[in-house]
Amino acid sequence: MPDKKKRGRPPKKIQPLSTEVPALSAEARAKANADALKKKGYDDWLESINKAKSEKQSLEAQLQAEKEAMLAAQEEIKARETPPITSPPTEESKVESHQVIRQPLNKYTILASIAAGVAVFGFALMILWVSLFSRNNLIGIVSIMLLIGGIFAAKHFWEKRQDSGVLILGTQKIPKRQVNSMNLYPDKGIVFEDTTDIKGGQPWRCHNDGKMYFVNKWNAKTNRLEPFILPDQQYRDPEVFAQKVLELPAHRRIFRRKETLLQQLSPAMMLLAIIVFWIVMITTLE
Amino acid sequence: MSLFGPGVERKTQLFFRDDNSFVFVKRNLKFSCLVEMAGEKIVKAWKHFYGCQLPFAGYKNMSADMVTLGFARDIILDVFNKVPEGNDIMNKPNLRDKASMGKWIANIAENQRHFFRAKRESQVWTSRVTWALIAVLVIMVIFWGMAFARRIYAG
Repeated sequence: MPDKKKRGRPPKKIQPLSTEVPALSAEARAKANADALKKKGYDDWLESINKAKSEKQSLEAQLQAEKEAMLAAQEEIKARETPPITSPPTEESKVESHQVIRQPLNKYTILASIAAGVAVFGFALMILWVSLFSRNNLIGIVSIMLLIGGIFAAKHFWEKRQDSGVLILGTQKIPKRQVNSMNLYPDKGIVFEDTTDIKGGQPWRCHNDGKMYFVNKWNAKTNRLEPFILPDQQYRDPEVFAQKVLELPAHRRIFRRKETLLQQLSPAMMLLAIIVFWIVMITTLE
Repeated sequence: MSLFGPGVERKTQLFFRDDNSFVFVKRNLKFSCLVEMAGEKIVKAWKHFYGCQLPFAGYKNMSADMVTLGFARDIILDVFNKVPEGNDIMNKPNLRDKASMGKWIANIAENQRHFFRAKRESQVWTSRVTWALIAVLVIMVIFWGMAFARRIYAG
């Protein structure tokens, strides 16, 4: 009996627990291989589609470029064949991004016009005096004074007028409302506008309109406006520069044209001639 | 443009005074400078550089122009350092170099000397007065002639 027992099945050995993943079975391995092959095929398929797409896109881009080049060439030929435009552009074709800012009339222009009117009135009065009131010398004197005075006043005011007649082209509009600052920019120039985010600075009085303005200057380093401060530099005093450097009094004295005796006496002689002629006029016209 | 001939060229200056005020003023342009005159004499002058001008579109009664900045204490105000430094008259002097200012002034004076020598005064004040009186006399003669002729014709 005990031999039988020995000849019998040996006792089952207990296998130690393993942390390794147990190997796949043949079926599972076959399935995994099939999946991998399928996936690889899908990738290949996807890749081939992308490749075809990119090839199509490049071909289309090439075709488009060729088409554009052809159109440009055609237009160039057409432009060469068309005659140049000789007529002025119409209102619609003018560029509207630029507008002309006209300056209104100022007081000196108006005064010059009034003075010119006075001169014209004096001239008319003089003609009337000659033709109608030749016996009244007072009208004659008044007319001559009005004519001469009007001409000189018109010249004076015309030269003194502040309007430069300059038309600035640009999109910038002149603000009519009161603003608080005058800003200096290197490219935009001098601009009157409202500024609120600048700290410091004192208001300056503008003599042209009597209002106070903050004066700011553009700082290119910080790209910000900052309060404007006059520099303490000293090249030359304007008065000294004018009288000593520009005028050169000693040189002007050397180069001054000397008057002859006749030139010195000529105003007095002319005045005498006018008085004599006035007497002749009175005597001959009475 | 003046009523009599080309007249005086004028440019706008934005002038900053020492009392914290400023003014847009038209000044005569003479010898490449904006000048303040008393009669025929130049009283004050500020150097005018075309490169230093700033555009101004106008505001209220201040008219649009290319504006040069200036101030009471000095002849050059180049706020944005647009004018290059140098001793020639088209540049501004280098303030760090003491000799530069003297050379620059000497160059301007030399230029003025040549100017006065080449363009001597063509008219003195007496000749101007004489011409004005001649004009008055001519007007008188014309109207006297007209009146005299009318009288003879009527008589």
